[in-house]
Amino acid sequence: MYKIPLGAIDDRSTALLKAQDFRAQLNYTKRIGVHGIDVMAGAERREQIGSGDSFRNYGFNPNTLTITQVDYTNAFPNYVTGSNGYIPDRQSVNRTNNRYLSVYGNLSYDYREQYLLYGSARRDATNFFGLNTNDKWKPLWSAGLGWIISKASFYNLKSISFLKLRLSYGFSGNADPNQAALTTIQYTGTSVFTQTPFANIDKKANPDLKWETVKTTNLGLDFNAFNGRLTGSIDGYIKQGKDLLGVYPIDNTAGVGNFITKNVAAMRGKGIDIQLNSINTNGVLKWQNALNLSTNQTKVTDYYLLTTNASEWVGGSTANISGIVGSPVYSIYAFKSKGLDATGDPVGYLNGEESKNYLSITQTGTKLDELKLFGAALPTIFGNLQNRFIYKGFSLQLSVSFKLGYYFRRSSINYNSLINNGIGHSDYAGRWQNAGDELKTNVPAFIYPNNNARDTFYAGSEVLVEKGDHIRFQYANLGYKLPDRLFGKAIRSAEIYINTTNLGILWRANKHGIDPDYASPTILLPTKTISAGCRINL
Amino acid sequence: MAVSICLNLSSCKKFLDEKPDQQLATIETTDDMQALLDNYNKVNFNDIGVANSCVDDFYLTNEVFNARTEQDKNLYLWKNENAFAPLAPQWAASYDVIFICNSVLDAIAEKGSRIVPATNLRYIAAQSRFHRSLAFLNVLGIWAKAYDASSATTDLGIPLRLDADFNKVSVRASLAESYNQVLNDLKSAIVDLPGKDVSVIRPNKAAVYGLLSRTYLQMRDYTQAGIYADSALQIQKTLMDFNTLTAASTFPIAQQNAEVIFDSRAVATGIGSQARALISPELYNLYAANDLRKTVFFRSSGTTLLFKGYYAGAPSLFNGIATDELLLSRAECFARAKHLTEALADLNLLLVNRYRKGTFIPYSALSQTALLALIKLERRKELVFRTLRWADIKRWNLEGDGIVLSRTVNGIQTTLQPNSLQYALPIPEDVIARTGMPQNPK
Repeated sequence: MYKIPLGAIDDRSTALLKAQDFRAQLNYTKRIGVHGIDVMAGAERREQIGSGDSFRNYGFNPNTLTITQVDYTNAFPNYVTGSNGYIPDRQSVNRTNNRYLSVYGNLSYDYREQYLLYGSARRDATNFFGLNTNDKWKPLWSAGLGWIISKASFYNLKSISFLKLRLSYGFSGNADPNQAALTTIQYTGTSVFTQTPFANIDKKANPDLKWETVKTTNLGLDFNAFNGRLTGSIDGYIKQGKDLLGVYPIDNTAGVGNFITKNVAAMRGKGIDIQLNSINTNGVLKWQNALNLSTNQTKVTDYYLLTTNASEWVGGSTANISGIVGSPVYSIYAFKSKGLDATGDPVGYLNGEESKNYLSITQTGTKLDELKLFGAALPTIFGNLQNRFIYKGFSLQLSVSFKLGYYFRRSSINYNSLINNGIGHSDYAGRWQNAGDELKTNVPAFIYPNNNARDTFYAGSEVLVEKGDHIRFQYANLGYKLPDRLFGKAIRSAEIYINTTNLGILWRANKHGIDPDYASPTILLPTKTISAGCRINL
Repeated sequence: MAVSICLNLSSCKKFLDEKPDQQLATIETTDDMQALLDNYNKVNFNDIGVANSCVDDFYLTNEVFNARTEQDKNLYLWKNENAFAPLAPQWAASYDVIFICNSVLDAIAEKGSRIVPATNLRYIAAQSRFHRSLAFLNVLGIWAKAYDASSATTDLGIPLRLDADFNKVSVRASLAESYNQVLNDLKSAIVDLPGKDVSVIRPNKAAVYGLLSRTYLQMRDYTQAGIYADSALQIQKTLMDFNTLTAASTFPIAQQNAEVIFDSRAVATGIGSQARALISPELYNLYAANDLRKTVFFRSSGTTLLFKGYYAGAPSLFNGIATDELLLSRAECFARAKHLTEALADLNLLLVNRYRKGTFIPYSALSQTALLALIKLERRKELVFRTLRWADIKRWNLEGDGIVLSRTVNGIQTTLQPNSLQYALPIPEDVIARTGMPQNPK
């Protein structure tokens, strides 16, 4: 006698989403003589309510719309495994409500349209559960001065028609949703044994967490030169962050898992942003350039907590704020390795000596300063360059982007995954197989029984770290604008075009043909696309 | 205007107080606390099966052994280091349960005075203390040496986490303190739990008595162990007659059957999983031909034997309280106290329910030594894969039984000598590194 009746299984569900936004804003502009003032203030409130439920009917006959009852409260043997189980009821009810509040305003004042003063502030809040009210709000404010040099009485540089100097200072704060003031729980289902609801612990009260704060000072120059042939801006900034939030390993005896969020570090960042637009030729053949170039260097200035296992900083799925003062905030570290030895095993170092004690190296035997620090995990110089050509009705746009000055860790064969999960990697073909191969390859020999720590060491060793620098061809667009009214009065204008995107990498620093933005072996490269079309205005 | 509206803090506060997910809550009412404790997957079924992986009731083939991780291999051969992978769940499993219990107890301490009626609170507090004690006892059984009253105050125990403040560093208490914590928590829970509850997934009085009996047995206080086993059996003493079970079923013994007083299960992974752990022929040959346990507990897989007599109706290691365990405990305590007739009565009662109808000849007229040996033997034959044998071997060796464990793999034999330091398994090295607590002596 089967406990699930003959017939179809009818699964039903409903989902409803209601969203509403409300915003009110006041603007005020006034000029009084040489003074000008512009004020704006506003508030916004948004709400998104999602609700839904699901239900299941067994023994469903779609012709007569009849259903059969089943017994959800007793256990029955599973037909396949023989273990006892409960008939799934697929019944659920849920409701979510995400609410956002924002309050913002800005003010700008100018004197003789030459000297400027401005400030802006906003506070945003989300209804995170379990946080103190104050911790739900994120403040952001900035203030600045500007001086349009080109309007000054002493200024008579004809080649640069517009020149403006700006200085601003800004502050932003960030609270973490984990900053719960109270332990919160989530109801997740009903116990089949007691027919009462059960719940999981959702967030643990973590009152020690403080806000992340970032202060930014920015100095910039805007200009328009050579009659508009060259325009752009140059900005330089310094950022100081305090109490950055990061994951920190915790002893799992505490019963809250292996990592908790803590304020871990202070950082300093600096960089330059350059934006240039140039009109190189303006005759029959027009040629324009647009360049965005940024540099960004970060440094950890203080790490508040003890750094014990160096292995916490090597690999891992979540980016970890670097634990070494003086290194970039997100850095790539690796275990030192001299490659393979004469038997095809990777060789590391323990207490300064060559060692194959992989367990000790990857667990507690390596200190943070014994790791090899390569550099930043995020590009330190990046940007893009566009070229635009216009000839009669034709226009051609080419865009190239670049990311330089950083490192990434490439994936390789992991024998543990291969043996247990059948996951392979093309590096397997290049593994050590015969004596002498250690001079040609860094891929360890396949051994069985396997040693998990050896896999962990190899995956985190320096031989797998590559430079991420590359230049990428982003897109090319070719268009032709047909002469107006070519086809008579009915068609005012028409344009045909061809676009291509994701054309691939023009140059990369790594010798393995890896695209650093898609380095994980489980991600497919974005497909090259070509599209063509025409646009007609009637 | 709008700015001033929103700077009006109270309406903003109320707007932001709305729950982002209706299923979220804070631990405010007894319903919330009970819901946390009724989460059986996390609280009842999350125990550790490590103690089972260390005993002589099963063995691994060379192929299975070679395919295991390095840590599993070390665990199988009772090595004194690297027996648990970094961040592995075995150590954390019990402590996660302890955290849930402590969260509930903290909430009671903080908000208890505002909640009525108070009896509900005591009921919930008693459940929390029971679950916490069971978790502590499981950890003690694996990572501490056998309890010996003469050295317990200086022997290393386990970290006793008694509140939910996870910023506190874990410190190992002494073995005596650890066992006393378990005993005190259990004794304080007795009065507030009912004799029988809506389901054996929740602890009841008999369960507390049963766990106290198990604890005292581990401490070798046989008088107390006997008294508590008896108290539990007074409340519930049903036995399953194995003649009524269908031995041919995949899992002949149903979950929460008539013998179960409290349902708790450990995960059987790694070297202890059903498919890998082959029953040792030495154990199988201990059963008489008419002993139904031969067919109910074991099934053949080619030329080897697998275990299928889980008290869970599924391949999970049952390590809760059941009447068969208590009957054997009481019998052992009776025998040690020279109450041989009562001991024989208990033993015969159990066995008549385990033998083919009409074939069991009750034991009689045995000397104390012979009876005790028989009870120990039957305890081993009855409580297979119940995670109890490891603690039994440890305490019997303290009394001079001289049980030597031996495993041969890849042609090399490894033995575990009685009272060896390896009986206290090495605490996971990453826990030691993060807390600085002392490791078990090697």
